[in-house]
Amino acid sequence: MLRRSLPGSLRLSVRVERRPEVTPRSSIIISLGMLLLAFLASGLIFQFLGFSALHIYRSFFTALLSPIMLEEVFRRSAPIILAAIGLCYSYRMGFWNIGAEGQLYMGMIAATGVVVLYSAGYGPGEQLLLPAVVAASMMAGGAWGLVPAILRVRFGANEIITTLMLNYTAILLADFLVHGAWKDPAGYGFAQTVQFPAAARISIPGVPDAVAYLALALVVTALTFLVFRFTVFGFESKIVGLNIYASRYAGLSIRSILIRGVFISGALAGLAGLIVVSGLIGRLRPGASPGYGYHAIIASMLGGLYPPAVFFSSILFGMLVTGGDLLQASLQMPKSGVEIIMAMIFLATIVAEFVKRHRLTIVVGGGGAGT
Amino acid sequence: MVEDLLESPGPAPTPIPKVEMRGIVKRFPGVVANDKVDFTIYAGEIHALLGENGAGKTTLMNILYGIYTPDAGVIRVRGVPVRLRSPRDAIRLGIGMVHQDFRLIEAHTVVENVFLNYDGLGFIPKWSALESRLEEIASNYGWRLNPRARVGDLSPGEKQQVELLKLLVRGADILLLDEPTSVLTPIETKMLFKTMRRMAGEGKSIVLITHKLSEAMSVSDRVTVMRRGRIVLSKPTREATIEELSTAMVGAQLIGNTVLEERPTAPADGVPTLQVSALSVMGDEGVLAVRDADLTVNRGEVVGVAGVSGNGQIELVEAIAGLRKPVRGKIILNGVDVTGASPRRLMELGLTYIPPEGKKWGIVPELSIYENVALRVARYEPYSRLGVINWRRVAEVAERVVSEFRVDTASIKNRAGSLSGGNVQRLILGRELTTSKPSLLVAAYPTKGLDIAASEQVRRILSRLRSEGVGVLVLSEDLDEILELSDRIVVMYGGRVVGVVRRGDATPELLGVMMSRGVAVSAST
Ligand SMILES: Nc1ncnc2c1ncn2[C@@H]1O[C@H](COP(=O)(O)OP(=O)(O)O)[C@@H](O)[C@H]1O
Ligand SMILES: [Mg+2]
Repeated sequence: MLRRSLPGSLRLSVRVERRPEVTPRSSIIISLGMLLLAFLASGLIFQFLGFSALHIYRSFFTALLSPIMLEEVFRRSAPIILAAIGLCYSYRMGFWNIGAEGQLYMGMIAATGVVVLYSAGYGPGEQLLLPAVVAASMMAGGAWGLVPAILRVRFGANEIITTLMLNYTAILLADFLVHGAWKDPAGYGFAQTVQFPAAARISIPGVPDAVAYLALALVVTALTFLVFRFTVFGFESKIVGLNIYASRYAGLSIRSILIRGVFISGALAGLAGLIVVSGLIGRLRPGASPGYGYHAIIASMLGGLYPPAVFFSSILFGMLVTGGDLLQASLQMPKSGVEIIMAMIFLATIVAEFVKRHRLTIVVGGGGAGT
Repeated sequence: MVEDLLESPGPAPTPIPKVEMRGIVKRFPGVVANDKVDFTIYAGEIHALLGENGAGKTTLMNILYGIYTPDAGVIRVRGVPVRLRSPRDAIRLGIGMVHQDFRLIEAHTVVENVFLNYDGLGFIPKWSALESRLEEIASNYGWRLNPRARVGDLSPGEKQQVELLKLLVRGADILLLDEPTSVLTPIETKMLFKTMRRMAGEGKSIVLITHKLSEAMSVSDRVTVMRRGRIVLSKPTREATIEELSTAMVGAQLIGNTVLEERPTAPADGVPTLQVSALSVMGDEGVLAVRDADLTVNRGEVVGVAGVSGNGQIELVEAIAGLRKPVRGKIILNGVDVTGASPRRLMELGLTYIPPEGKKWGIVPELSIYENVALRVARYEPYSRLGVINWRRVAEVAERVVSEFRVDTASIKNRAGSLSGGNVQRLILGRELTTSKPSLLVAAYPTKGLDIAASEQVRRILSRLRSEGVGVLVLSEDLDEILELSDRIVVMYGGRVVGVVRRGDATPELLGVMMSRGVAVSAST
């Protein structure tokens, strides 16, 4: 008689619970599943835009896996791998550095600066040119990363904003130099600098450039893997990212760990920049990077900040960047088509992180007091 | 039942309670947060719900607000049994809650915050009408609140008013306020109490959660005390005394005049390991949480810090542990001035700190047990050399910690977050005592949230350290525990050390009075 419950109705609801743990295996399966979904979703969009998704994907992958294209894929993957591995240092500390692009540009600018000096007859001799450009690019990239790191540590400035703004600063600085002081006088008025001499290029004698770059990226990946797993710095930087209270309690030098980690991030992005200017293009010019620093963000996330996985996810992005040109040339589809895929992968990565942390169950139940 | 009441002409017309909670049980992993709780709210009353941290007050109110569903028990609102599945259900029944932490969007204006998620707003809200409605309610309570102000620019007291407005516009007449005064200045608190009285005058019912006795005494009509998930006392406020409430809060079973026997003062030789003098420490709210505190811990001695929570104890030990910079005063550890020293330096000088809330401060739940063992010592030999960690060595030590301190786990590779509270605490203690040789152990609420057996084991470990000549400073919310462990007891009130009582002189009543009144009844050292 008094059991009058408030009016209700049948309802469907999704219950979201935090999942205590994910095994590495299910984590990989979730990531790959989400990746597949990203390609499916992009396919749907292509279809909707009046292209045949199946045709696009088929020609896309068969072309990319041909020897010539594969070389190009590897060349372009190298800077993405370096920058993405670098970002792992930032992200594992919870430092949301989205400034790899700017750090990469600073690497390009610094290396080019050395070469411009060299061509003008100053600076290092031929033997020292390569070490000089490597050091310059890494220091410049690292220093560009230090700025937001110090702003964060000293003033609590949000690094997402500062790193993003410094991207534009670096890109515009490159434009400024290329259009002005560093413009190649023998370049028929094009906005570009002098060509990098052979002595300033990373190469292994008798080996294609692509292999040399990939080897360098592989070495950096392996070293990073070891740093993360076996060094005090790698361990402490992970703690800083996971639990700031425990870090303080444990007496970690949080500031110094943050600064070191972000410097390494920037230095690796700078090294990526060196490969771009010295190897992929051969000189600095506006728009020298098609956004490798941004691709690296997604690649490092997709790889779950686990260096071996990041290595491969970066190669996937190398394929997409290379494939973009292909789409345009052979399928009459705008280059930005691949950006749809990239965006989908990015969304999928975010969803994958959520799925890894939560368990979703769909509850069917009658309504009680509420609806 | 309501009908029965209405039909049968009872001898005395008992007022129908607005809310009746009967036999409420709520379990969380490892704790019973509410253990067969009965709680009643009448119309027009201010009902103070008292209890120490972790007593289960918030949980009880979250149940009434539909955030948690109880494991057992019934809730009747205005005589009608209800099932609350979400705050939406509660709001519909006129129940509203203001959480301990404000749930406001700082970038939005007052009116936007108040009417966020408000039914019947329409597709295009008529903001000006809504604004004048807010102004009307606000002026009714004497608040000066601009509906167009950005919430981020408001003071804590004004934010509170915004939270209250959220409830009022939804027609709430049962208001649950969870520690509303913790962020307020004394003047704002007074203002809030005035508002509360006015609301009660309009027939609204208000539950005021607090752990401050004076507030309960000054504003409430009725007071209920919770301790460890149970109701230990509930009566009209005018019939309650402050002593009675404080003893109920900290441990009702202690009433009596038990004097603990003196015990052999182990190796205590009067050599101080810690000397704190005239220490003042800032609290999170920008007022001094510790004022001119003096404190000494000798070798082989346990000093307990007693006090109702929120009287500066935690800030005191955090300053000693290097986690808070003191404003004034001096801390000397084994003869070395360590005022303002970093946690790292303190650790190297022989201080070991067992933090409160082990899962938050003491471990990294996402990492494995053995990685957690390395947490504080990875940078030292023999756990690492030249920056390279020797994980084999760490694993050996972790195995020892797990077996000697009986951390219940199948493998040291398991995530530390999967351990129960007691096991986390044993892991922390075990790690600290295995990887370092402290001369001073500072333990903040080391048994909080542990079951009886686990607490006992922790106390045994502390006693063993004492007999080994270590100085021990321990915080506890449990007077029994303080009395059992301590050679001397320091009582804190309002951030001051109001008395130091020797073991032989300490009685629960004496401590209870000192803790609740801040008077040093008989201070001796
Ligand atoms: N969501 C939760 N999950 C697990 N334990 C909880 C949760 N909420 C509260 N508890 C535990 O329940 C007990 C009572 O907590 P709470 O109701 O917040 O106490 P109070 O508000 O009186 O300080 C504590 O031991 C607390 O750790
Ligand atoms: Mg609470």
